[in-house]
Amino acid sequence: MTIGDTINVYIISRNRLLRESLARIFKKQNDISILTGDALTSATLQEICDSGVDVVLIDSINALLEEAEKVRELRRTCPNLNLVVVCMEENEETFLRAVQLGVTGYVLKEASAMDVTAAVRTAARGEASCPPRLCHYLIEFVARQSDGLPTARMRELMNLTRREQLLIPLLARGLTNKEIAEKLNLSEQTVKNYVHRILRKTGVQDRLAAVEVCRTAGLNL
Amino acid sequence: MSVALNPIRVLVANRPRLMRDIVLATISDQPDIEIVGEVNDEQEMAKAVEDTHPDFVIVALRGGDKLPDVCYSILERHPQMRIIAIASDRASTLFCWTSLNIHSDRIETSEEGVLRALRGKPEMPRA
Repeated sequence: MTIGDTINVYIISRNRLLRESLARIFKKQNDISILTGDALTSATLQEICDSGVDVVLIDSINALLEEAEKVRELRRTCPNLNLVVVCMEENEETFLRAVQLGVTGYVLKEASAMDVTAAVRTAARGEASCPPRLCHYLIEFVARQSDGLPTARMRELMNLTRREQLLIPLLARGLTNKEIAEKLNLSEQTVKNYVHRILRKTGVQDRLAAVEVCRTAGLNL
Repeated sequence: MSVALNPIRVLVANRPRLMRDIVLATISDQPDIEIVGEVNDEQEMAKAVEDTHPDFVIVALRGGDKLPDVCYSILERHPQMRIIAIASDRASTLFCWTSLNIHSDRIETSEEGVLRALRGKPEMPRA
């Protein structure tokens, strides 16, 4: 993207007022063109890919995280696409999950419309933006990672068997032992044993924490 | 742009900031609407109502479809005032309070919905 190019932005928001007004605000900028949609549907994704969109602006972090698989697929199909989220959520872990999904612009709704416009331009240039407090958290998180989780724990994590690793995405989706057993053609007791071993190896007390440990360690979830 | 003789006076008091900007962008170009103030919190809202005597106050809808508490005391003191409450996180929630405990049905949160609510059109598009 070079200076003078038009930035193609796709706004996704269930809130029609926000969608319409943001579109109108953007249209006043000479360098931004707009498409809009109300949800992250397969049709929306297709339209985004077909329309040469540079930046997708979505106003709900929950919608983004709920459709994580579609978002990953979108990024695989359109690797140059930039994602900007506008949301109320200042929670660090939610922010981190958004970053792991490839979000490069994170704007809180306490920001102004001008700030949102600036975040879109920043993303279109291939740069990142987020509130300073979350930026600090991100830097600390990376620093903690390079210090590493306790080495022994990392080794244990690497020792997850293929079958155990196969279970992690299913745990991430919130499936019960029974549902996982049906999916993998295993008995419920066998799944229970696998989960027990995963918890032991990741050194946590519950399955969601185990998923987070694996995600943090770089497992593609 | 010509300005109406008796414009509809609006105090914009909704949060977060982005939604306030959105509302301002929606109504600021309308010749029959005058923005008499823009405030950031509830304490400021109560004072601004007394200072500016708006016809409408636009606020953010709280979780569970509640008005900010200060709105009830404002409506008690100024029963003729209208309060429009907009949710920023849902598809279709915009309420128009006409007096204490009486409010219109839920209507679609859109630019047209906001303008119709301000102009008192009875045929507001329903969600």
